[in-house]
Amino acid sequence: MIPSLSIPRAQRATVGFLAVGVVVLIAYELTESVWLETALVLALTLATFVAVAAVARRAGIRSAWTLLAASSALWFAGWIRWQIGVLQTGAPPVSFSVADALFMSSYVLLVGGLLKFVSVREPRGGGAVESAMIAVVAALASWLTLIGPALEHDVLVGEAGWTQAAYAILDVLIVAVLARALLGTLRDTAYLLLLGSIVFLLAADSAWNWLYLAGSYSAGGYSDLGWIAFSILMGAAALHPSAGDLARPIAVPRHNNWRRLAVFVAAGAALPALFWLEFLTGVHELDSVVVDIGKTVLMALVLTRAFMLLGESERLRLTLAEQNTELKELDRLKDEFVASVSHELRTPLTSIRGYLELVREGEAGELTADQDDFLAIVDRNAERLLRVVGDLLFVAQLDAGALPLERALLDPAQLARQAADSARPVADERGIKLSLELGRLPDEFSGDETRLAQALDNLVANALKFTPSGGTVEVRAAASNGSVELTVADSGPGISDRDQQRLFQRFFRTQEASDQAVPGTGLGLAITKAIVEAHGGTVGVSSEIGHGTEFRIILPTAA
Amino acid sequence: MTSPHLILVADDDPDILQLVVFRLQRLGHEVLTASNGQDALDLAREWHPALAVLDVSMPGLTGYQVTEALRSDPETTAIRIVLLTARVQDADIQRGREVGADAYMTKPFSPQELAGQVQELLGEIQPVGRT
Repeated sequence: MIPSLSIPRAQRATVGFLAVGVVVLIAYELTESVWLETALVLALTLATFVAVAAVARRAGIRSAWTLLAASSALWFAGWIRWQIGVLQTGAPPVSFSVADALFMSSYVLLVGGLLKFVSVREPRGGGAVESAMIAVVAALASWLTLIGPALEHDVLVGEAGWTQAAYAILDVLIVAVLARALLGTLRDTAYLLLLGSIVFLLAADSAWNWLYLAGSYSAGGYSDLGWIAFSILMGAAALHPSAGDLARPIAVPRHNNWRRLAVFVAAGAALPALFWLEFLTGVHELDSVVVDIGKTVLMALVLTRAFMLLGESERLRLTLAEQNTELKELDRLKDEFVASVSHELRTPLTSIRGYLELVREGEAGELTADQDDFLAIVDRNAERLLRVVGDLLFVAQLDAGALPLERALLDPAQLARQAADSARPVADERGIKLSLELGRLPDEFSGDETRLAQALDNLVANALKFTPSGGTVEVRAAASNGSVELTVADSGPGISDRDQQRLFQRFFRTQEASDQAVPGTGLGLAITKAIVEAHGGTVGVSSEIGHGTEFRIILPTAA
Repeated sequence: MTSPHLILVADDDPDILQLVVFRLQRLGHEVLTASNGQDALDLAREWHPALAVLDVSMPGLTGYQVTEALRSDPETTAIRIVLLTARVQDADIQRGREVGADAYMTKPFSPQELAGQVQELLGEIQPVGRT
């Protein structure tokens, strides 16, 4: 049995290309045959070109992939000329050759393609100054190790020296663009593979250049492996399903400001570090016009960024101050709105209920029994409407700010007794046995009596609403270490676990409550919770389908 | 039936005004009406009613302002004042207390409750005759 590899179908091409690439790498390194090496390199670079060209075709002629496809084509062509030299003389063609022209053109297009990716993916992404800092440091390092030595080389004179220097300069450009990409949003596997391929290209170029200047480069050696890896990763990137997405803007860029800040700090520290290095070692080889220019540019970049950061923070401060003013104004408008809605809803309700009362008292003539019954229904519904208005306004007030409490010392037994007493008429009417059980309680504790009564009334009213005739509702008050527990237990149908989790959300109503048209707005429990929490307490529910429901308010007495 | 008193009622909503007037007349009181704050203040200064039922939100002077004006004038400071309001925020109720109202009723109120409140307040003071 072959163990099944769980590679998504869409990614098989990428993984396959990488696997074949590793085989090519090993074969290239192990074989002694120049012909086999030539065949492997050309086959691989051609395959990469085909893969990249295929994406470019899909992504459109104006996409960054088109530039990379052209770059890959030149890269493949360059290798043909290079390998002809190796096959004929055992060494690459002497600089400056057609191979160099092709490779260098390939690099220019590669830089263009990468720049296009960066600018399309994140049109307003930052990091330009930081990537310039990295480029300057890379240029300085390259000047000291590659460019300078190439230009002043004893053996490589004229064209040969300039050619090596030109490769190093192109590599610095590539570093600059790579840095820009790495400081942006790092996502999409194809993008990561692409950036990874560039790292290998830079490593191979630097190794080759170094060895070449030292006179110890030989074709087919370890240093070539970086170029092969570059082609492999580039091809794999093109074959990945996310390749097409790279040419599109990222919807939500994730700017990594820490990465940018790290570069800024490192660049700022680079100059003093260089100074102390020279001072402590007594070596002043770094004193050259080019290095001085590099230092100056780096310093200018650091100062530029510092100014930009100051400007940004000032702009942010102003924006915040502006938003703060707007928020306060909005808050005021909201308070005003709540007050005027309250007024507009309550005024007509006053007339409705007031005149109903007069009519039902017989002030406008005797009523028949039916007339009185019907008007009682009108009155009940007007009252219900009033309660809804009250609940809505309460919630709006909660949104406008914390719940103001008028704390005073109150008797917990009295609180429970009043809740039970005021619910008794409804319980009797509905044939529900309402009982009160008072445990050992502290004489008094601090709380807002009106609010707490409202919180408890909501629970009792709910219990009565959902308990069928013949059932029981029990109001209990008890004390336990430093707190008062007010419990309302009913023998109703119970609440499912799923509904229990959402019970205290505003406007949430159980399916059963809606189906059976049990009156309510879904605000009662949210209000109870807000009141209890404003007192530093908690409210919880335990229930089982078919076995009733129990709500418990726990209030700290040491408040 | 208690002894008749002169009562001022001010509300910009004619329905509510009529409701209150009807209820108070049934108790046997004489009623003056105003539909804005300025009229209410003028009537109170002219007639010195025993009690005033004032709506808080009225055009021109609010019920709060009328209350303050009546309280600050020795001629009218003894008038019992019941504020009616549809504003129920705590800050509003607080304001009602500060300006010196004797009672504060939120809309919608029951006319019967209002009548009870009025009778209670009137029972506490010496009847003031018409000037």
